[in-house]
Amino acid sequence: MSRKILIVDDEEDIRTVATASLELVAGWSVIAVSSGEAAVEVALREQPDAVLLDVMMPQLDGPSTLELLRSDPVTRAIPVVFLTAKVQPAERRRLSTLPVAGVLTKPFDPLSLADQVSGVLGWV
Amino acid sequence: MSRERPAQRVDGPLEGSFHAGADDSGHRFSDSTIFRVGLGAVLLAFGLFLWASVAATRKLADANDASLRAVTVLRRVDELTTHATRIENGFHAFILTRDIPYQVAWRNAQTGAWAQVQAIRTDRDLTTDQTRHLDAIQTVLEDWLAAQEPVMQAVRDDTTGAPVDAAVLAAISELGRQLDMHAEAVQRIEATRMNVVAVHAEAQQRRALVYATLAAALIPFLIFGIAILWARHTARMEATIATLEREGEERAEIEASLERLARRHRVILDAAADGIVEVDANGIVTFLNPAALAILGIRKHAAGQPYGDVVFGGEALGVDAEQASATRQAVELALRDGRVHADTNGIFAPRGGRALPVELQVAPMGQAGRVSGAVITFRDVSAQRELARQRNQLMGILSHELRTPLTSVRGSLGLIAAGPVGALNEKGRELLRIAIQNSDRLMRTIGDILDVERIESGRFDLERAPTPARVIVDEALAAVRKIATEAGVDVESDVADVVVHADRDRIAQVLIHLLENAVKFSPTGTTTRVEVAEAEGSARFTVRDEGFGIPEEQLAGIFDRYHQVDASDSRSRGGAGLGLTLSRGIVREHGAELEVASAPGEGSRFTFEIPLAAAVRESPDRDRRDDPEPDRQAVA
Repeated sequence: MSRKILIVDDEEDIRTVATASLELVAGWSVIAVSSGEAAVEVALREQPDAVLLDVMMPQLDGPSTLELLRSDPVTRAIPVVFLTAKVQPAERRRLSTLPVAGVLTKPFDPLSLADQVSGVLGWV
Repeated sequence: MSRERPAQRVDGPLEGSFHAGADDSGHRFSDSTIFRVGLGAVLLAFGLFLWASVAATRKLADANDASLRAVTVLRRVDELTTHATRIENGFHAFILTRDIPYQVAWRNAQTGAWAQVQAIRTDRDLTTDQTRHLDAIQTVLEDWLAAQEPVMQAVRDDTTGAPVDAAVLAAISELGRQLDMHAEAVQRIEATRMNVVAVHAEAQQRRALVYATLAAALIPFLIFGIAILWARHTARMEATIATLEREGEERAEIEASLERLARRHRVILDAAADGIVEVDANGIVTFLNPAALAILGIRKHAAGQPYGDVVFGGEALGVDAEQASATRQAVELALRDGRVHADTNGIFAPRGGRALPVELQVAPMGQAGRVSGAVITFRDVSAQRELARQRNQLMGILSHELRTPLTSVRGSLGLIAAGPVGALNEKGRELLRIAIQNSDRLMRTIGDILDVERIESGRFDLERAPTPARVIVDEALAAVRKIATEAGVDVESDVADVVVHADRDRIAQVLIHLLENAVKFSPTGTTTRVEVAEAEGSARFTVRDEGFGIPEEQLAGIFDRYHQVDASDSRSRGGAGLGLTLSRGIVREHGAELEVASAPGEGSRFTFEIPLAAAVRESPDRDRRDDPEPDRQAVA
């Protein structure tokens, strides 16, 4: 089943690899943006099935972007998965307390990224 | 600091050494008491001697006096009888001769007789019998004279020379005889009295002499006893004086030592780089050393001010209220519960100064469980905090700026290797394999560096949960199977059916490090074993190999960061030398210790123990890491 995924990461290479991974391995449709502001705008417009959201970004970071998405009725129900380089359990626990579907860590395996996202969102 | 020495005490003045309590001979009475009693006895004996002597003298005098009086009485009675004889002779001579001179003598003798009778009455206290006899003498004398008077008158007036009637003369003679008889009675009584007085006086005198003799005999003995006691007393006095002098010297020596100690403490306090503040039980500052004044930026002495005003009196910006509260509480808690409290993340905000990051320790002072104050030792850790901040920043950069591009690299390589972007020729696949292998190695190295850093900065986090040891070991075996196969090293396992309370991923990470090391440093054809055995509430993990072993001189340093067994190893076998450092850190985070036993040619054995989940449930304290500076009870 084809899914529309919004990838939000300020690193272009990460966006490229993640996009290639989800498109080539899982056959999903991917929209990639580089900032939180753009993510909110695209999410309002495109209504993706899920958002893969980086945590550490300049200006509007992941949690702030999540807050904006959750504050708008149009995007409120879109599931969000954090993709973060913060690997400490305490940090992961803190992120898990936010209204997100799950937390995935970098570096990720491009061959299994789609499976991990599906597992977190219950799409399996 | 105080030096233990037996309690010494001198009770009262020097005389105290004579008290029964100070007498080690255990006598019931003290020397001073005996001395006083002895002196009293001497004085008493001397008094007795004096009294007896005086009494004897007085009795002798009394006896002499009584004898003299008795002699006087006897003499007067003799005089009386003499006068009576003259009266009688004068009477008879006159009636025979009618010569007037005889009549005159007769009359004169009467006067003498009466004078003696009167004298006897006045000279002596007469007894009743004597008085009765004297009264009789007086009566008889009167009657006798009265009987003679008419006869004398008749003879003088008679011219015929007729003889005097014989009956009359006989009656007169009878009266004279009675007179003599009474006089003799008076004399006899007086003689008896004189004898009685003499005998009594003699007895008294003898008794007095006996007393005096006894007293005189006692006095030398008593004086001798007193002399002995006095000598003993003097000896003890001298001993006491010597003891006091010795104690005085010791006291002077102790005082000098205390003074030297106080000077040394003052020098140490002045030289200490750490700030030292003393507060009383109410939190009032009683002392600050020069370092404390300098660190707090205080020019004048702050003694007498509340501790809170001294270290939190300013309004420095950027002071975290929660942090400041914790710092303040360290002192309050120490004063309240009498335990040592420390705050490694403290903050001060002194007057007119900046926010001052400090590390402090508060040690209560007191005795017998009663807190009388506390000593706060602190140091300015601004530089360390800044260094830590920069290090954290560096680690953040490492974490983000290295891992992010590596994520892209590894992801891209993975996608290429998987084939979705097109096929590669054989040479391309070989190069791609090398690129993937080295990017993985680089990723692990970065991960290890970050983990070691987190452990050393105390920011390492575990997710412990009940996990079967078998699961952890299988995960580690799976991770190393490939390199073991490539190295030709057989890896075996023997795992007890136990459930441990551990961070599964981290313990697996430790086992992977240990197994990779074992494989890397073992010759082909050897066996590496991983074992898990139950041991008193814990699971003992052991990784043993048949490798080259570690020289003894290198064993102590193998857990150091970047340590390599020898310089060639990093090139020939790979690794940054962080694996064992990290493994030990992870094991220690679990409250255990990673131990090694090895010898060249005999292989190596690494062991550590992780608590069983059941043991943790029964005793939750086992899950707690050992506090590096646990609270200590204040030393009284």
